[in-house]
This record gives sequence, structure tokens and C-alpha cells, in this order.
Amino acid sequence: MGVQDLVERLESNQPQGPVPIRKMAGVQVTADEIREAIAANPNHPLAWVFGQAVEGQPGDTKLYCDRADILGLATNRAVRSRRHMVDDELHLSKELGPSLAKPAAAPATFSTQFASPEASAAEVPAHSPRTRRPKTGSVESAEPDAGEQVEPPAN
Amino acid sequence: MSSFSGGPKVGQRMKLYRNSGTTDTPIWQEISEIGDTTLDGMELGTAELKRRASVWIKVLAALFSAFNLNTRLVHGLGGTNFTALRTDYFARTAREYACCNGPIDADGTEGFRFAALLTQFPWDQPLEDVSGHDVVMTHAYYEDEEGDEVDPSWLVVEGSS
Repeated sequence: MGVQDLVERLESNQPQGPVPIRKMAGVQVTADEIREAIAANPNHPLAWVFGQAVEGQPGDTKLYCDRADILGLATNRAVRSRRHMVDDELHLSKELGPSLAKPAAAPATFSTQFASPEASAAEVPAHSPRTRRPKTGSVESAEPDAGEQVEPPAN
Repeated sequence: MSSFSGGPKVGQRMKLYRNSGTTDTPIWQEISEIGDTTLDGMELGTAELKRRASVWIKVLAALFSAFNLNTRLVHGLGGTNFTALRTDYFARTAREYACCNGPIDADGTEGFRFAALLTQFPWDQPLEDVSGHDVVMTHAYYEDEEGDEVDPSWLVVEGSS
């Protein structure tokens, strides 16, 4: 139960006429067009409703539905029912919601903790204690000389 | 031109639809092979209030009567709708219908949406007239896909164009 359910319950208890007003943006579609929309988004929540409505129907059969419903199916977007009161009359309508497509997974990041010793050595910064100190004892440059290999500590 | 449904019109311009979807996601199919259609029995029951304190008999609103939609279904045309109506009759299945004053995909169209059972499905076979069925649909108890009771509603088409 969320806030939306609470709002709907409170709105439904308001004084209202016994006959609600259903708003509809009616559009004409053919059975073939509905089948194409189902094929494009077979996992949409409305796919089964439209599928059973066109079952056995010739492809040029004209059907009429709410624009939000068929558009939601065709574009894989959620379809919501909207309720609001106008002069003590309950008005019901449909509206499109967000896309139902799953977002692409973020690229994985890897830690160097379990990397190979060679890879770990290649990533070791200049100030790391694993870097060999220069033979002269100078601390001005802690970077290994060119061609000199840095050996990992023997643990 | 009147903004209300495009002005007065004859019944031949009006439309009757059958819902082949669900209550929340209706998918309307026009039943066009029909003749005269009447939404009958739209009556409000009343209780009379009579008392000495007033010389006037007044009424109190009670319940809406069970109404019917009567239509003449032509036999031999519109096979899909005929089969669906016949199936609903013998299966005693309630279904939603919309009785509109125009096309359901035209702005300004209004209509009455309700659930009904086919309570009469006779078959006339006159010698010298078109065979048909004087179908009677009676307002029925109906639940949506979530199990909630569905009452009639007034349908308004807007935003189609």
C-alpha cells in the first residue's frame, strides 16, 4: 500500500454521482496493427489483452481503443489510470507513463587486489613502499631507473 | 454547428460497440449490422411521500431500474459479432457495451457504457421479410479483472483528433 492507494481511497469516498465519467481518446486500429505492436513488445502488460481481442480476427478488422493503451503497447511504456474529481463527478482517464525497458547495466569495475603480480606492479605509483629506493639514498627520485625491474617484497 | 455531438442526428448515424478487452483496457468492436436500437427502461424508482402536513405528494429518489438495450440484429451479416453475441447468450456471459451517439474515435462523441447479459435472443424467419433477432440486453452484475463491481458510466471521447 503506497501513497497512491491512499489517495485513491480518499478520492473514492468523496461525494460523487453514481455514474462516473470515463474520458477516452478513441483511436481506430486494425487487428494487424495490434498484432505488430504485440510482436514488438510481447512482454508488455497489455499484450495479452490485445492478443485475446484479435485472436481469430481477420487482419483488416477495425477495432477501437484508447490512444494511451495502444501507444503504451507500441512504445513499451506504462499505462496508468487517472482519477480526479470535477464538480463532485468522478472522471476516469488514461495516461502514458515511463518506459518499461530495462536500463542497460553499468560497466563493471575491477579491483587490483586480485590482479596478477605483473599487472599490480605496472600500476604501482612512484611513492609506493614497494618501489626500490635509489642506491645513492637520495629521496629526490624514487622512481626506478629505465630498464630496472622492481621486485615485489618477499612475504 | 453544435459542439454537442455535432448536433441532432438520426439513429442510423449512431453506434453500438461491444468490448472485447477488459474494463480497464477496453477494445471496442462496432456492432453495425443492426436496425432500430433503443436504450429502454432508464427509470428512476421513487418512493411517495404523503402526509397531512402538505397537500403535495412528493417523491424521494430510490433506485435506478434495470434497463435494457433492445436492438434488431440482422441474420446473415456481421458473422464475427453474431457469433460473439450468440456465444455470450448461450454461455450466459455478461459483457460491456457502449451505446454512443457517434463514432467512438471522434471528438465529442458521448455514450453510455454498461455491462449486460443477453436475456432474449429470438430468431424471426418471416416469409417476406429479412430474418433477424430482436435481441434484448439487460443491465447485469459485472466484475472487472480485479474483482471489483463495475457500474455503468458515461463515456466521453476527447483527444482523439
